[in-house]
Amino acid sequence: MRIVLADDSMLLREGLVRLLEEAGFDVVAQSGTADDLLRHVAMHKPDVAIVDIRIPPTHTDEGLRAAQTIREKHPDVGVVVLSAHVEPGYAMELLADNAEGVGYLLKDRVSDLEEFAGAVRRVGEGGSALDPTVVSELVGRRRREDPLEGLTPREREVLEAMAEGRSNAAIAGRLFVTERAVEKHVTSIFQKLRLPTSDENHRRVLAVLQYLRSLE
Amino acid sequence: MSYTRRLWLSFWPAALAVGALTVLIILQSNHDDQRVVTAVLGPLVGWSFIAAGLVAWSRRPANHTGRLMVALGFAWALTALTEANDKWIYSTGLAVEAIFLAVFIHLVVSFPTGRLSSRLERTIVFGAYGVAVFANALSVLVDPTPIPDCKGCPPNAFLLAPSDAAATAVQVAADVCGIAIAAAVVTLLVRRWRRATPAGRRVLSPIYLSGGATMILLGIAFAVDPWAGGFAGLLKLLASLAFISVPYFFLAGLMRARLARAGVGRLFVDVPENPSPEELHAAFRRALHDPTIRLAHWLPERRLYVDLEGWPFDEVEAGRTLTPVEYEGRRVGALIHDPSLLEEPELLEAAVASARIGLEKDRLQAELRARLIELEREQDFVRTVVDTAPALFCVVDTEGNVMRFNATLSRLSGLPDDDSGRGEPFTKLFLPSEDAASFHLALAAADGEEFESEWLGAGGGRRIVAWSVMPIVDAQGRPRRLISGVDVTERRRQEARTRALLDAMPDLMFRMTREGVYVDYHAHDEVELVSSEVIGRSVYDRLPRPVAEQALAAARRALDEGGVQTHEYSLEVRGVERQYEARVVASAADEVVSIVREITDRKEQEHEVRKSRARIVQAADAERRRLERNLHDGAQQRLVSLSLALRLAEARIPDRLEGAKQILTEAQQELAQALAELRELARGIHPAILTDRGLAAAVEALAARAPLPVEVAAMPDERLPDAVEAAAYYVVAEGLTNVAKYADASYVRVTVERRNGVASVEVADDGIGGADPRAGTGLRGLADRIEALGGRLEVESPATGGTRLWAQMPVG
Repeated sequence: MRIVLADDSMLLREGLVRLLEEAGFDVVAQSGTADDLLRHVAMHKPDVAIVDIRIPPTHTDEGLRAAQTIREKHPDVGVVVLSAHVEPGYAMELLADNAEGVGYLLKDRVSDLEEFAGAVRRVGEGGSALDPTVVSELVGRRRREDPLEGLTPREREVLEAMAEGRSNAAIAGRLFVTERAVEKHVTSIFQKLRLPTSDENHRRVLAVLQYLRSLE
Repeated sequence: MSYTRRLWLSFWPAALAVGALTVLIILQSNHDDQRVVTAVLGPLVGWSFIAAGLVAWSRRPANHTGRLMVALGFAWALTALTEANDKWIYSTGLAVEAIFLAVFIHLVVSFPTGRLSSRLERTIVFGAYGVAVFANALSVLVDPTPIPDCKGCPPNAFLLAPSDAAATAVQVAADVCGIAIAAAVVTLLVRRWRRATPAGRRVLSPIYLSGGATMILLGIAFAVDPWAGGFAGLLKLLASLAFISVPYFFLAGLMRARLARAGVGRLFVDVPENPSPEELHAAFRRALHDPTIRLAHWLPERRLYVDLEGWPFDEVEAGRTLTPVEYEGRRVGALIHDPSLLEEPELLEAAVASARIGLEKDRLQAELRARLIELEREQDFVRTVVDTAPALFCVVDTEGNVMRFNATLSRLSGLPDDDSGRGEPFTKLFLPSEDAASFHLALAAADGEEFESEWLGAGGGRRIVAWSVMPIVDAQGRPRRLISGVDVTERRRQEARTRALLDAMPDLMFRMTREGVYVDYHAHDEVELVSSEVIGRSVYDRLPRPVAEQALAAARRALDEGGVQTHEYSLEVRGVERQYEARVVASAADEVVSIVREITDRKEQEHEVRKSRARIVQAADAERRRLERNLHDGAQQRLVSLSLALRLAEARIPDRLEGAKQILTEAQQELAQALAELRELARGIHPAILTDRGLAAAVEALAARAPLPVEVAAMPDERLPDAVEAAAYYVVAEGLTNVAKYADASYVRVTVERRNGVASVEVADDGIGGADPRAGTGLRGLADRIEALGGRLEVESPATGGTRLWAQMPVG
């Protein structure tokens, strides 16, 4: 899987390159600025572009905007945004109305190689990956009349995993249950939350996230 | 048949018959040594009383005295029964012989009205009757010898239980009672005499003299009876003789009243053609034997009585009676006399008739006299007013020469209040030479216009007097000038002090009406105000409309609510924008004083201070942002890199070095923890999302992390200035933190609004309330931050529940 990487910290970039290559990815280009990134993406047409949210010149949210540009101009290229801190708002901006080939991860996450590699791979394959802390903030928010309270703890776990972008199989593996059981939980959740069911994974993710966002 | 004749016909024949019968009984008596004396005295006493009584009865039909005297006459006749030789008549006489004494006491006590008016009087009289009837009746039942040592007395026909001891006891008891009653009567009469008016005494004296003598003799007789019976008998005889005189004395009193009436009838014969008041009074006093009698004229137009000298008298003194005197149906005067004269209505009537003529004769003169007195009094009054008034008065002729001046001027100038200053020029006496010109101007104009003059007063102190001259006419009709002066020294000094005080103040002062019309003002020299452009003008003429309305509103508040009402405004003065503060207080019912102070400098300083504080806050915010970014871009990047390096190192360590792998794993976990903490720390220092995405996103993030439901009720659509957003963010953050910590709330509502150039932030919970806004440094720092932006922070936390943190900031 071909990767383009953008981070202004040379040290971190080098570390990430080695990490990704070790995990079997092919890092075709790396850059320190948003402009460079866009050029590299246009040039290499990678499977996934990994970008730090804060890159020069302003060190605010260039990475995010670059990611959005990539999603617009190169719908085939998956984008993983790394952030130094968790803001569900950014994630939702990034996802907008399409959860295909997009990821938003906390930068710390990179040190968990399997998790990180899994997430990048999922995005490269057109899936989505949302950092568990973002999901838990969305799910865990206190609400006056919380429809999520109607869910069982297990259903909650399934909901969170879904929001992270995991497939039924992945969820099953993670929760040590059968895929069939996961499907039952998913059906139950969608019924309880009155969401339209969808077989496609990325639509399911978007529906769940938008639903969570809509809850005050 | 007249009343008098009828009375005489009813009683006189009976009296004569009873008299004849008693004479018959006495002359036949075989136990009276002095039959002839008794036969003469006895009927004489009886007839005297009956005759005098009938005269009194017919003259005073309403008065019981006459009746009592008639009764006494007949009761007296009963005593003659003891002279009888028949034992039954004799014994009856013994039983009833004392009744006349009780009747006599009754007569004396009730004199002159014949009525018993007090409880004491009734007690005495009832006691007397009781003793007279019961003592003798009892004595007759037990005493074998009712008249001791009586030779020839018939036996006691009623004797039931002869007992010398009982007889003595009855006798002693009767004597004791008799003495007590006699003493009470004497006390009563003495007291009455003391209280009586001269005219009253004149009426009382005859009956007291004779009655008193009788009583005293009888009292002594009873007192000595047990030891010296013979002497007592003699005294009793003497008392009888005195007794005979009583009716004659009474009759003499009556005759005197009739004679007085005849005197009154002579009165106006004696009064000269035009009597002087003394002559008139003297005639009345002579005729009525009352030296205190006074005559009064009635002045109908004044509706008051004046005495013969013309002095009004306001009320009749106590113990005197006023009897109005009328002439042809209208009141002409009054007689002020002793009330006892009312007892002699004929006399009073005759006196009134005489007074009528006397008063009518004297009438015109009395009125003149009254007028004169009134004028004199009026004059005295005016003089007193003029002399005691604090004003200075001086009358001068048209040339300015002094005619007279009042005591106040005399005191102030030290010039004696006599004729020494008369004819001298006013200027010479009372004015310093430099003021002579203004005096002559005022004298010529004589229009009351004031001029002031300063001179050395009698006490040596400088006095300032405000003089004015008015034309008047004197009593002889000559033109004069009245110069009146008021000592205004104190007032001028006070004014000078006030002016100095005002001059020393930097403020402008305006006095204006409720409607905003300037009445007066005071300004120091630097302010160029022209009087005609202020006084009489309205605030609308001088100030721009919004400022004028502000000023009027403050004036109304000051008048309606009291206290000091302040308002601030800015005005362009000579091309420069200036700030003013006006303090408005009510100074009269419909007037306020507005003290205006320029506060441009203060305002600028305040502005500077605020800007400086804002800069400090902004610098701090920038520093926080830099710090946060450095944490992320520096420390965090390095830690993440380190974490990656550890990860790579771990992958390269052969599996057999289990211990080293374990250490690396633990190090990674530590590192992950450090990264999480660093992240929280950075967020606390400055939330990146606030800078990147603005207040709405940042507040949303706060709400999402809050440990209780947060409703973001309103958010402005557009971005606010950085400093305001930062302040708003910290208000919400602090508010949510406090709610979570203390409020025990189930719900928080966050509202951020921008309206009319003001951003307001509100964090309201439904918790327990009662928070102390001063507690903790968090709120204090927050308040500083907001005040630096020109805003304010408030905490409302009533004990009834709910806390509301509320900030307002101007947004340019």
